[in-house]
Amino acid sequence: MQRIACPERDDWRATAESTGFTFHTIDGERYWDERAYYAFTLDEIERAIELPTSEIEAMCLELVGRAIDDESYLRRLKIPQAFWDLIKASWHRDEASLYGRLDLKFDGNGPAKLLEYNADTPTSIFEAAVFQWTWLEQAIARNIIPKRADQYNSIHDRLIEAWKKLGGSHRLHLAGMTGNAEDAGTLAYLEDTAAQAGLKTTLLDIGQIGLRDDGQFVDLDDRAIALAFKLYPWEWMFHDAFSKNLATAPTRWIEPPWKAILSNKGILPLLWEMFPNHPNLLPAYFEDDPQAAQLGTSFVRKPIYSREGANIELVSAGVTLVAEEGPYGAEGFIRQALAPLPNFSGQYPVLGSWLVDHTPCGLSIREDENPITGNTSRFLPHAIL
Amino acid sequence: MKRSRRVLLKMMGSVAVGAASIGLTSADGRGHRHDAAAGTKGNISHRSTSGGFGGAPRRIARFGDDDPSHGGS
Repeated sequence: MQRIACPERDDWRATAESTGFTFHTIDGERYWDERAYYAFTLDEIERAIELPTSEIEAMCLELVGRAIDDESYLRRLKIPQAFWDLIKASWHRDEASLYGRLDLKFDGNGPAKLLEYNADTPTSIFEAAVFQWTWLEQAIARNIIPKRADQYNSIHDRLIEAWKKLGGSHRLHLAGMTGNAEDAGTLAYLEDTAAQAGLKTTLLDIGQIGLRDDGQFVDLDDRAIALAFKLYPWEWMFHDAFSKNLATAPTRWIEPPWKAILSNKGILPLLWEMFPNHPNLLPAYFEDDPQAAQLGTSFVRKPIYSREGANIELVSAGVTLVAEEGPYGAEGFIRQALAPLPNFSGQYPVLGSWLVDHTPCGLSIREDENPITGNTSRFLPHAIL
Repeated sequence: MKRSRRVLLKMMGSVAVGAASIGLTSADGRGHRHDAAAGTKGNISHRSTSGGFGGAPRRIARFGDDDPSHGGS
């Protein structure tokens, strides 16, 4: 694994905008950054990223199965009891998952380590699937990177195949917070892949979903929503007024309710408990577990529910190195062994390992000068050399 | 490995396609669709920009003066 500085394409902004990638710059700061790229060997991709991703996914599914059968898991994850039956039913119906992204620490030496699983509402999929592929093709054509360069990336193809498999004959509704450019762009991209799979689609804001007297969720044309992709986390759904109607409405959701288990940072201690010393896991404990003392005075403290680095604290030798502010933490915290991100030219990269329909299929990289990756961290492309 | 593939977009980013149809403006801004509040059919018991789904982030995920965080992660 290397970080290689390189010239940027002089027309990349126009290219981004012509493909609908309007959020390449956020609040005046680069989000897409191609002044460097990360290079991997094929062996690193296949052995150190793809294979562990598959293994971690299998462990996660085993954990869900166990949590469905043992309510103490749901209790430890602080999932409201009112939704346990909804979650269980979605698992027993084998409701399909479209995608997810594992965040991994990897430095080219030693095994990749799971930092967290964005199992419910991962974003950055457009830039991972499409725009970094465009970069690869153009960077090769313009002699920016070697002609032999390749990329670990079949996300786009697999999304289309997955939609064909899970879409059926239903119209697909896609809903989220469309006022946010990144979320709107993600929804628009997923809508595009669904359309390429032959699905009829409707995109709307999550707040525009209505409820009819017959208990069906409906769109703005009063059309019943049979199949809905939501870029809106389950823990928020559970707090909304319509949450009481989730169990009885016939809508099938993507991601399904059972993903509420995996998007919870409480899975990190549960995975460690089930698979102790697994090479791709970091020791982790619930903060109120006396075993958390085994981590000593160096650990990362994460809220059970948290998004984009908020309320995460890095503690080393009892001293808080970095602490991100935010609104989370009411449900409690976990502690995970401190595994500092590697430092490449003063930048700390986190690898995003993508799964579509449970199959590992691509890589994205976010880097930051801050060792906690947040919503302002930049996206850099990668290549296999 | 996979360099012969082509990544094509059908709807997104086409010069002929405006922002509304690629989802970058809310459906409210697209104009022609009816809203339950207009009473066109009258059988929708509840629709609101924050009263059905979509209100939680303002209550449980708001931080600072900015708009609450977005749904992606």
